[in-house]
Amino acid sequence: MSTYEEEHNIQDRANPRADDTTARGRQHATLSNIIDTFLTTSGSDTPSNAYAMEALTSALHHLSDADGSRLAQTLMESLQDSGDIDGKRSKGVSQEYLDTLERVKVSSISEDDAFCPICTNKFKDDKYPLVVRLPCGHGVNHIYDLECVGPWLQMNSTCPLCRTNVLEAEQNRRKKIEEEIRRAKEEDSEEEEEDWDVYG
Amino acid sequence: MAERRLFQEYNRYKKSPPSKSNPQIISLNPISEDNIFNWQAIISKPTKKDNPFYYGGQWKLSIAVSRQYPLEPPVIKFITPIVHPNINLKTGEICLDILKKDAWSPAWNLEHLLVAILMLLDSPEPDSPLNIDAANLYRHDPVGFQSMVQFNMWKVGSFVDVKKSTPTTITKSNQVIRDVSGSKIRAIIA
Ligand SMILES: [Zn+2]
Ligand SMILES: [Zn+2]
Repeated sequence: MSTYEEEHNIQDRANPRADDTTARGRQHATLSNIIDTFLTTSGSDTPSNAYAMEALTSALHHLSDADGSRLAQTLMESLQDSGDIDGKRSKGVSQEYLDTLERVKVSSISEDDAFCPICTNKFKDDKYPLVVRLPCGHGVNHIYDLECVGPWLQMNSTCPLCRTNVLEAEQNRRKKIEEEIRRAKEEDSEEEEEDWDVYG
Repeated sequence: MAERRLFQEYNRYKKSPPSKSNPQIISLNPISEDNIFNWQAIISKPTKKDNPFYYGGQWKLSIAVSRQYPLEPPVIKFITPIVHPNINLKTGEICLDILKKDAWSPAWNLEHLLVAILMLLDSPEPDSPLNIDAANLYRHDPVGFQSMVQFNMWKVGSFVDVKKSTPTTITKSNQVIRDVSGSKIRAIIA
């Protein structure tokens, strides 16, 4: 039986419908396992949390695609919210992410006095400079010694100058791609979707 | 990295003292050049124009910098007791988001933090209090709050030291009559 909210596709964020979830069987168990794993490992500030969050997010995406459930969506949003609030979860980037950062040639830096905002050393004074640009967007040019910004990003995935969450910038890019793929799929199976929309 | 960056900051503050660009910062320096990780600072709110509650006051701060600096924020405390919604009266602990790991940025320096603390004096946030009495008074009775602040400053003797500070609008002739809870207390400066 469906509630008013479900039939009208309205989310009730204050009430994540705990009763419904217990009746969801195997899929729910799997989901709760993932969440448990995520929560128990989220205490430490290791970059692996980024992976855990990624795994969880993609699992939730998958689930919401599979049965058209709003629950997964709600859970995902609330997890992201709480992550933002206590700021502890999924805060750092991985070494692999650092390797993908855009390199900047020091000779291409026009300003002679340009310095790394973290160590405050001039880039041009460095014998073996390794300078990277963060994907802050909006046409800004926030560059750092990799040696300086690397350890920071592994703890906290934000640009020290403008607070852009570099993981989110990456996530948004990926989300857009996923959405496009999903939209393409939906167009293929629109009729089927309608039958599966009401559940419970 | 911490040591090198701190010496660079120190050299810069020697070359262009923070007090020059911001007269509310009286001093900012390591306690001894032998230990670049322990700093102290004196900040002030010389006149009523600077701050309607804390005018005439100056406060000493301790700044303990960790070896992870600037990846980690320093620990800053008020050594001079101060009545403020977001500052613990006994320990001097400061509740300020950018002093916490989550909101700190390694692009900030010690001078930036002093500016942030001066701003906290101007706009307390009674919703996250470390001094509940001060927070309640600030919210419901600003005049009473001002009296409490000024009375405490008189009690602990934290008025601006005219001889040491760079010229401000406070002079000997500008002695302040302070109204504390109805009774007149004459605070003589200098
Ligand atoms: Zn650097
Ligand atoms: Zn940036």
